[in-house]
Amino acid sequence: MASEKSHLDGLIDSEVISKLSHLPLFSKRPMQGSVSGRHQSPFRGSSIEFAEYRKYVPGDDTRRLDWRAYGRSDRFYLKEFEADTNLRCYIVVDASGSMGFSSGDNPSKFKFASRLAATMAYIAIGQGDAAGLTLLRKGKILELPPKRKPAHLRLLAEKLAETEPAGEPPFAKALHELAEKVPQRAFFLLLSDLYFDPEPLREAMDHLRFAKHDVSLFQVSDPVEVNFSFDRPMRFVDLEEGPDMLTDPQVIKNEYLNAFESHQRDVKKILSETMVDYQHITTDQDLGDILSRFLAARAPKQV
Amino acid sequence: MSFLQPFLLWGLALAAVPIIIHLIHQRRFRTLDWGAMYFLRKAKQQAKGMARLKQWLILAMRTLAVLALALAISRPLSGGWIGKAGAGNLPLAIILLDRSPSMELNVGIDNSTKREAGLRKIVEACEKLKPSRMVLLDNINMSPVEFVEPSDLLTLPETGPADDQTHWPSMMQKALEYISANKPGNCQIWICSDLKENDWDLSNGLWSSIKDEFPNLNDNIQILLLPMTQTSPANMGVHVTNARRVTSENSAQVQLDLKITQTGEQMQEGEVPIDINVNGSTSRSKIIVSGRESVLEGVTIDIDPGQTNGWGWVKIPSDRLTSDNSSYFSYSPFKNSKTLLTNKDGSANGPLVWVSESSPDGSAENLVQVTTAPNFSSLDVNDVSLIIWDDPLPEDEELKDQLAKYADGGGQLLFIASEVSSGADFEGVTFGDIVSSNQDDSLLIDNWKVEEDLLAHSLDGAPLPVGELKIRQYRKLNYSSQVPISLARFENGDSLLSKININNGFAYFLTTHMRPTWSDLSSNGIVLYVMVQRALAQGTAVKKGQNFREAGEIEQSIASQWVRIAGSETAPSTENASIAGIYKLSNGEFLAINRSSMEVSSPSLSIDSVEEGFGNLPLQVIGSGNEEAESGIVQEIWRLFLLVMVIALVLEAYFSLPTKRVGDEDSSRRTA
Repeated sequence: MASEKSHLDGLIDSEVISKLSHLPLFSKRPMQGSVSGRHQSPFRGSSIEFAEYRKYVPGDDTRRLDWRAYGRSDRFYLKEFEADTNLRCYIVVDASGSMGFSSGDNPSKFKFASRLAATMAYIAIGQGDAAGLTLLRKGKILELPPKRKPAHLRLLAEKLAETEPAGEPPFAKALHELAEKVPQRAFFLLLSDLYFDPEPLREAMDHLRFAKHDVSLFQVSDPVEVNFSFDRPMRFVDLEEGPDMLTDPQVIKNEYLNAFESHQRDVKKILSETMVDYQHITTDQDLGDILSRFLAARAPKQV
Repeated sequence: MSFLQPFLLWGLALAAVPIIIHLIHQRRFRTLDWGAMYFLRKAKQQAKGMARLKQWLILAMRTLAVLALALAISRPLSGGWIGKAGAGNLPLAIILLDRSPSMELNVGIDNSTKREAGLRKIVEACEKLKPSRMVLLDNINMSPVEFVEPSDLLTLPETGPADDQTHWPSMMQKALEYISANKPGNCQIWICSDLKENDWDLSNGLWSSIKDEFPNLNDNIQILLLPMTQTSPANMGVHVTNARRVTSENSAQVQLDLKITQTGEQMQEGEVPIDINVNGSTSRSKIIVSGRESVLEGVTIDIDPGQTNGWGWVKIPSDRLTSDNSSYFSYSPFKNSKTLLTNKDGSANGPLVWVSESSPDGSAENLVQVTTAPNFSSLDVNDVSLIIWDDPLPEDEELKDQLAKYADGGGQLLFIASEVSSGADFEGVTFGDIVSSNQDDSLLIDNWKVEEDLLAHSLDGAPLPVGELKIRQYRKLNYSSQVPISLARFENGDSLLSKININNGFAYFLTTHMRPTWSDLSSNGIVLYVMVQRALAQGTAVKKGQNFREAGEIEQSIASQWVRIAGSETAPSTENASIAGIYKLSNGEFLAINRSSMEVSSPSLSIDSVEEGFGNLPLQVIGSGNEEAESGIVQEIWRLFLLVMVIALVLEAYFSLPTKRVGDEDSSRRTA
């Protein structure tokens, strides 16, 4: 138990939590939960939010008849309200070898993604939603189904802490499988560096959208990967088991940055076309700031 | 291309430094576990082209910059457009011009002579170089003349033809003195010469002093030699070696001795027309020539019997070298022999004066002039037949030169050992330590030359009483280069009287003195008398009737008073002493000046020997078959190499700049 707690302590920062305490997680699309919650449901329910009037048909509960409407129109109408439900949050973390990269005092991309995942799971479970975890690792995919129990959070943290990033798991393929597996509308939080050809991502995102899931994607990069600032020749050892490369970064810096930016443009284009909530973050940024911006942007607009 | 500081070319090895740094840099890699290999591979694929080439270009530019710097500090010289492009400002150009008669050889380009062709090349060079100051130094005036425009060189009277030879060591010395006085900082000395061995006198001691003095000048001096070494395949020259007036009862004639010399591969045999002018009227006759040298003695021309003084010239048909196609002469009645005695106090008494004064037949009183060594240089020795030097050998170089020149022209010199030795030498011969006889014994003379020369038997075969002489002291005779010919020797082999030959004249060395403590030459006067009279006669024989001199023999200040009545019409009177022609002297007599006899006959030096003679001096030979020859101009082009270095560095900086990338404007928002 002590070790579980320590896993949680390592991943969830109390300062970040306190910063986010007034910002609940909202889904941007109706969710289909199992219990009542704060999220909009595609079905009518008993919340205080008026939805529509409907003609009475035999068999309806007579307690829901709107007598005022009967008095005005001499017809029987039922007053229907929006249903509120909980959401199921599927957190998908890319644990490929490239996620293990870190520079200077910055945490590795996987560590940073793990903190973000754990914090989001904490927020979700804290507001009564269910949170599950999918870790894309070398060889196999670890899946923890979404649950609302606070104890589930510890299990989730434990799995994140245990995992060492390695290999080159097929990210898009895993998303296709998830889209197939998850039958009801859910919230998908994807964390990856996206250091692969972005084109297969389009189909995966379309697949998730077709299943009416709400998808958010955080692309995690290290500052050195973005700036590529080196002052001497380097031997780059591939974290994903590819061949090493000895080169003078000064010679290929421009080409590297061009390739990086071109990739980013492609990613942005695909994700905006597939209506995915996309964030590019670097490991030297403040997690609290990232999440507060993210959550605030998702909050429903006050009318 | 050649270099003024070739040893600095070792600096070229520094070009390896950027390459070594590059290789070391390549070895100093760090290993890093890297995630974004996806982009790295893409980048590496794209960087194969221009970016990789750029790295090599940067390395090449760095190497080029170092090479250019090393070449620039090695002071490269080049001709043609490279020289023109890389030349800097030149504060001073000194032109040393050889105006000697051998420079008058027609070289066939625009019908110009070596001197004119050389001048034109120098004018062309000066017009391109545009020196701030230009100074001419010629072999006749030997004083720097400043001129404004390069083309002035073609019109200055100081660049016209002359007939005196050039003494290059003195010219160089003068040029260096001028540089030393003016300190131009940067200067070029242009030498225009036909490299006559006689003119360059490479064995002269002045050269070593020039070489010693040169490094002390802090100026950057460049010596450029424009060798005019063209030769003529056939050349004929005429020289009047003697002209005398002979009289008979009712007529008078001038008798001329002529020497016709031929140089070059092709020689003419047979008749050659010759024009002889006497006192303005010309007659043509023919002479027969054969071989290198033809001597014609006693060519006789009738003259007016009443005319005792006269002049004339001899001309043969012009060939490519015109300066030796004519020779001038003058004649006058014979004058008495003249002896110049130099002794310690200038006293006109003593045995040497007595033995010089009276002629053997008593017919004429010989002239004796007595002087002292310090006053000697101011005297005109041209009409002197014998110089007796009864004083320590002169130490002053100028005085020695004057004496040597005198002997060179056929004069006789007699040096007598003195009480005090100066230690100085004359043509390598010195009087050494005193050798004395024991007590009253005298030293015996056992061998003297009886066939000829000063101690020969008399005409009737009677020997001179040389063996009866009582010599008590003498000085040993030492020599370094030329071995003196001994005319009389002591028993021990030491010399009593020796001589050395200096071209047309002789220098005699008598190792004892007339003082009673040294010898009885004075009391037993016959040997001394015969000796002096014979020397005097020899000198007179050469000088007799020669009213003509070689160019440069007479002081310019004296000659400028004369009036030229034949010869060059354009040469200024200030150069009279060096211009061949007939001159009327202030006393009404005529004097002929002819070209220096050594000039044309002297062989030319090879360029290699001149370079060797210059030793470490920064000499650059122009037109020696390399590329500079075509342009005829050589300049320092270090600025060009500095420019190359700057361009290389600018390009290096340009290639090192990060190029603007696609979508650069978005980069600031990359992480947003």
